[in-house]
Amino acid sequence: MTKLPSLGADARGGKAAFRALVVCTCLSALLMTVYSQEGPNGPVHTLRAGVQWAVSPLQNLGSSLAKPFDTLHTNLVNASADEETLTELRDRNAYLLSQLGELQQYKEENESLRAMLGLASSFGASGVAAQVITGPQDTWTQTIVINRGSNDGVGLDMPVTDGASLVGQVCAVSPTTATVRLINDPMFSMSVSVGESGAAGILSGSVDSTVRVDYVSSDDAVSVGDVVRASGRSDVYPKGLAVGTVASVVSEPSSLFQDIVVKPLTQAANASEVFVITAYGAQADAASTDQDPDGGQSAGDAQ
Amino acid sequence: MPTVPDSCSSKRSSVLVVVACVLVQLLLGGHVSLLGAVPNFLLCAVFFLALRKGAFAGVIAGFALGLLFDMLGSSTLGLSSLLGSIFAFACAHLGKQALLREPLRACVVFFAADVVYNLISAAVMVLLGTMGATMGEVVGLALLASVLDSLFALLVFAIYAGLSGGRRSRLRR
Repeated sequence: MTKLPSLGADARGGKAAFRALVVCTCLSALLMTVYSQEGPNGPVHTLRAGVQWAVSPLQNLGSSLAKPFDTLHTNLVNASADEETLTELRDRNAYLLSQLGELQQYKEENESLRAMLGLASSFGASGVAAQVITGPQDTWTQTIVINRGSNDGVGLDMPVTDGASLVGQVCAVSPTTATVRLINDPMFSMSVSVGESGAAGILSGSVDSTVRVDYVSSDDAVSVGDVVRASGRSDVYPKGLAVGTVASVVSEPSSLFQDIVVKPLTQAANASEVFVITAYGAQADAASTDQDPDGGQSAGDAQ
Repeated sequence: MPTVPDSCSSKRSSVLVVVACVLVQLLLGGHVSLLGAVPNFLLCAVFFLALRKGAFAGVIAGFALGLLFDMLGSSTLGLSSLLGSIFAFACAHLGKQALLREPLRACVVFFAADVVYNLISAAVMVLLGTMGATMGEVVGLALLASVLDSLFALLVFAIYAGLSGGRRSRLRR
């Protein structure tokens, strides 16, 4: 007798939960549909940008808190490195030792920004320097959030570099932050040319963060160590902008294309400062004539 | 000594766990990774609520926290909220509240549920065409991500079990 009302209550609770599940499932499906169908400036994308803007102060705080642990992580990775990496690290260490007096953090940041300006001037580019406030947020995507947004002139699809090579591309923007899709993200792809032969291919990322170049003909000469650069076939990336070097090439006689794995020039997810190219070449010239030379976002203003 | 009513204390512990998980996700979510796998600390809160407060509260929390997780990342919006609701519903029906008093057992159940969640999440993304991956890559990353999630969950469950154990013994006295 006492169990019956309890069973009834359980059944009612179960029904309510099932109804909630159906409603939540429908709402989620609706959100997924709208998100997939609308453009990057649609209401759901704007809502996401708003949320990212709202949580950016907390993420900034998290970035400061995580800095000592990031250093610890780097040290641990170095400690467990293989022989090849150790040799590379020893060379780098020797180089760093020669610059012993210049190893303070502010100096490194200054040098990083100078490198970005050097890159900017070599491509006639203008842009803004930004700090990375958070790394990849989930396992299946490789994106970072930077502390510059539409208020600083950052827009969708703009290329992002670390001063020496391409890091990724802006995929979402809020007024004060932007999300950058890294080159090893599964959704990233761009047209590249490989080595001195200029073999054309499509560079793309993958879930395990391996970067590959597909559709390079088996007839094209490609060897390990060749530099992979932006082909300049689209207006998005400056032609010749370095992306990485060829780490391995497999060319089978029965295959039309070569299997090329690329080693990015930088570990994008570990970068702390980046440079967003807002305009380059003719676009940058047009932008500089439109703007006051002292007030515009030219390469010289990036600092 | 005045004691806190059970329902009030239950509500308070649930709110505390959710707030703690959200804060940890926002502060550290983007800075913790294990060989490419990134943790989802919000799943721990969803699991906790589903077991502590039942399927209804779990489903709502799964949807809301899943949506928050989607908002923070860059994958298809709505995917984590969909899977979060289903995850909570399944956990509430498969697990019992008493499980939370045994942190290690709760953690094992959470790990199993989390692996399934991550595998389904990856499978849906492959089906949606937002990701291409081999089975080996997906399983490896799903397991690593679940290990990270479970370590955090073990900490949360242990703290909860310690606190609720202490409160029960005070009530008995």
